[in-house]
Amino acid sequence: MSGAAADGAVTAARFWSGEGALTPAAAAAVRDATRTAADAVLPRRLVVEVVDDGDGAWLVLLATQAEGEDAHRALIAFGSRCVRVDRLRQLGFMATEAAIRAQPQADGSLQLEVSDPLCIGGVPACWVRVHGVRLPPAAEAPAAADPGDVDAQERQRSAFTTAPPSAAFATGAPRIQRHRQLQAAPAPEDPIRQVEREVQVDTLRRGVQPLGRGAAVDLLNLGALEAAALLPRTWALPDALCGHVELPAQWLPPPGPGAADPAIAWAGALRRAPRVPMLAAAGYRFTNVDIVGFRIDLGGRDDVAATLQQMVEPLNFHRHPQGRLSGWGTQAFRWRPAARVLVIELLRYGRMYWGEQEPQPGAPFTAQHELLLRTLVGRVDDEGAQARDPALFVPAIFVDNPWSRMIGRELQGFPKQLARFCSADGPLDLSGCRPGTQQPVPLARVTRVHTEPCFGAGGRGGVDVLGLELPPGSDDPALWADVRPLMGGAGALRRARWRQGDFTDPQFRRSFAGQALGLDPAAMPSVQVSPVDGRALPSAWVTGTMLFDRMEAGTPAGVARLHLPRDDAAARAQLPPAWRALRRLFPEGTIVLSTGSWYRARADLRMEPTQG
Amino acid sequence: MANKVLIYGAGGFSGRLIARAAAARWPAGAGVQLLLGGRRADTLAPLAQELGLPTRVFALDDASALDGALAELGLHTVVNAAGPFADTALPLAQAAVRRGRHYVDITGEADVYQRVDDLGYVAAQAGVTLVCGAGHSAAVSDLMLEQALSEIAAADATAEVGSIRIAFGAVGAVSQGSVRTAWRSIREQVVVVRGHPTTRELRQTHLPTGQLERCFDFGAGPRIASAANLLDLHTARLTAQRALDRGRLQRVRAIEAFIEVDDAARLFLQMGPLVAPLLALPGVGQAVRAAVAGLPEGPGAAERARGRHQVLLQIDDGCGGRLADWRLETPDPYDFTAETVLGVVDGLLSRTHGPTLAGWRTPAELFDVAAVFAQPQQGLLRDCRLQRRGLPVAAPRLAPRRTSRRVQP
Repeated sequence: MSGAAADGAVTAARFWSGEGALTPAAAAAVRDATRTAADAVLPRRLVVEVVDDGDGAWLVLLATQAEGEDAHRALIAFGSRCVRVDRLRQLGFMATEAAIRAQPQADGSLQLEVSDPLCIGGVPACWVRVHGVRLPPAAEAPAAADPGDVDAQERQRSAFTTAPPSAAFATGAPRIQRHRQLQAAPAPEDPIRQVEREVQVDTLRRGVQPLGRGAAVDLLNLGALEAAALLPRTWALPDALCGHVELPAQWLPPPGPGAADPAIAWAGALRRAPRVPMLAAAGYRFTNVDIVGFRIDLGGRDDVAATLQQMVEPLNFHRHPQGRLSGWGTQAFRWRPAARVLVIELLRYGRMYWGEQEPQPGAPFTAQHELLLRTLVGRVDDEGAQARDPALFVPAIFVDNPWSRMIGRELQGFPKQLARFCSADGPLDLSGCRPGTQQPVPLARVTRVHTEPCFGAGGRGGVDVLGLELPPGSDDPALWADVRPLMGGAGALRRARWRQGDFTDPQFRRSFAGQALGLDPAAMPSVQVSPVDGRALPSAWVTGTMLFDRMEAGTPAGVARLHLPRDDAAARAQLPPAWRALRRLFPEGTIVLSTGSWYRARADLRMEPTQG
Repeated sequence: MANKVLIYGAGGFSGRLIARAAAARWPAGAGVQLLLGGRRADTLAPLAQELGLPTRVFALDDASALDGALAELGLHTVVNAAGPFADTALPLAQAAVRRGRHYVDITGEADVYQRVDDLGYVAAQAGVTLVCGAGHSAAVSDLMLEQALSEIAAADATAEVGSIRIAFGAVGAVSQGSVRTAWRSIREQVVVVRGHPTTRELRQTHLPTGQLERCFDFGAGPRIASAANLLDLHTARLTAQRALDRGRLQRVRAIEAFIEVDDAARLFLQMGPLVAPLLALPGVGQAVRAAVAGLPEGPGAAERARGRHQVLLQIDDGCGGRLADWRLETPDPYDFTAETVLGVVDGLLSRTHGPTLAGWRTPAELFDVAAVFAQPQQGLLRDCRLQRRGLPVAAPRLAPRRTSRRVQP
């Protein structure tokens, strides 16, 4: 364990933790819901921990502790910064973004509300409420980063404060608090199972003092997570502590590109297990999916091949120089973009199911918006004349549902990022409604998508992802009545995606083009790579099929315009490489799409993983 | 509990030979429990009765039955002897990797080998060993090449290899499966391997069938052999690449594989590119399949007892001088296939291997190759005759090309 950041600065933060006994029934329920048999110890105590770095970044951890064990096992962690949540996930914490608001109470304590980060208007959907939090006095505030340099701001937040430790921090017997977590990712040989490894994450506590007064936690709504076994109810936390915490070096952002390939470093030291019970659904089902798609034809340009290859390069993780000596075979194939066509799709998922599980009213995982960049890829043998295995690959994707983001990244290899979807009148909720209304704004009236890297008080630092200008009338419900008889059905979608002339490279021209064009638009194969965050677990190709039912599609008339953000420092910090590569393909920043190059579709969708 | 070895396709010609040899090698109580597998119970039953072994009947197109069969407790290795391997190798290898079982097959089909090779990464991550071509082709040439390259590297750590040539003598009688494989390969171009001029990468390239020919002495004077799309070329590429990646060799310029042909076969191969489109016609294919079905399933015991087979390995240095010129005479290829594949299984069973041996491996990696060649009268080569017509010598790195040193049979 290290108590210092890479630059030698102490990474100090304040913490508070409260503990209370679990009832036998609740303890058994948590044990039954835990991930693998290896973890099936009977917990005795519930631990709630709050960490504050003094810069508006909060962590709230719900953990359990077994009899005779000093380590905590976190059931769920909430963070108010995307970067930190990603780091927690890398370390094996089931973590998700949340808006965390601290409200001072009359007795001098704080009440923390953990809620839906992108909820708009009214009372946000609260997931967890912690009462009676008492933090020690704050250390000196760090020097503020340049407000224009979002990258530097985010780095500083991730490293917590670099201020000298306070007197309270330096005194008192240090104490190590250990978390025992499972790092997991889809198994390379069978992505519906997982590879996992138990990891220990230690934090050094100083100035720890027991608090006279206890606290309580209200667990209100946590979807189907392991912690859901404990709700809904209020748990007393009579034993409370507070102090300062030195965060371990592993909590800081990972080293940049060029680090050792985790697949080689970690091969063989892992165990295999079925998926986490909460994520074990065979597939995911979505109904009432509304789609606006944009077909971006790059065919006439010679300068795009390298950029497109760069976008799909994550699929070629197997081309590692040491792979041949590690039994990876000749690695004599490479995934390549099949056509000089990109597709951007804006989607609204009306209802989302895990397997066959009906979404509960008020549950967090019910609906969402999604913006994705999609391309068709094929596998080309090094010396082969023909590509094979056409599949869709999504190198960049934005959603406004943090649970979808977590599951998509963990299980399906979609590199999802959180974003807010707005109409001209302001932000929309997950269902597409404006505050105080029940009627969703038509999807075609979404005009802006932007990132939200931090949540809670004073959310800041987001960057634009995409601006949309669709012609008047494209949001008209009567559109469907017009287009269905003329151009409706799967055929329209097929034509809107690829045509024979798109396959210009020799390996993709003939039989591959035939295969690709012959693919049923209602059953599209897909391939993604997991893990998406470079955690120290082997990479896997996650293949599946996107199955569309009850599809209606058509191409409305008019010109659509897409506005891409500038590729500046803020974009570099917050947008995925593929999205920035897209921007570089259009230096003027605007994509103009005429009739026939964009489409509307409605369907039900299922995502079925492929075994092995 | 005894380790279980499942021989899938045990009802076929090669499968039966392997099963009988395995039963002789691992009698009851030897710590290995053999299982006979196949698609049809009726073809397995006589052999199961003869050898007193249990059977497992399942089809490879039934994913749940396949996964269920490979999930059997104690199953260590699956040996696939069921052709055509274009249909059987990939599903069985995929299921083996999913279920954490080692996989060994005796395919001779180069395209199948390359397709299954794509599983190397996931097998390595799963800790599973995959060995394709563990039969006579390509285990014999792979063992010879591994040993020869070791000796060359030991003699000169900066050795540069010009060409590696593997050549097979003609086979007297062949099985139906071999004919089907040969028929499929007629329509393909010949693969040869060339070293990248500036890196240590070995890349494959294609030549028209019948274009590349060379003379070899298989023991009865010079005979013409034509370059062929043999599996041995692909294992040789991996073995040579391994030596390059480990720094045992500095350079390999070319690898080629040949098979002895008579005049009729030469004509057929040279006409192959022209008639290939005709061979693709459905009627022709059906007629050939019918004709093949009328052939004997494979050579009989007497034919196999008489049949000896020659495998040549020639390695030149960068200037055309001969570094190695070996000839190995083996028993009949079908009988010897059983020996080599069981040697690979033995290597898997006996080796305490960790992740370093997981993944895609050539047959030689499962043998103690130095021991095999140190005492050829014992072990795998006990019924073989090895003739070394040139010992490794230091490569004349700066010497001018001296054609007089070339061995031109």
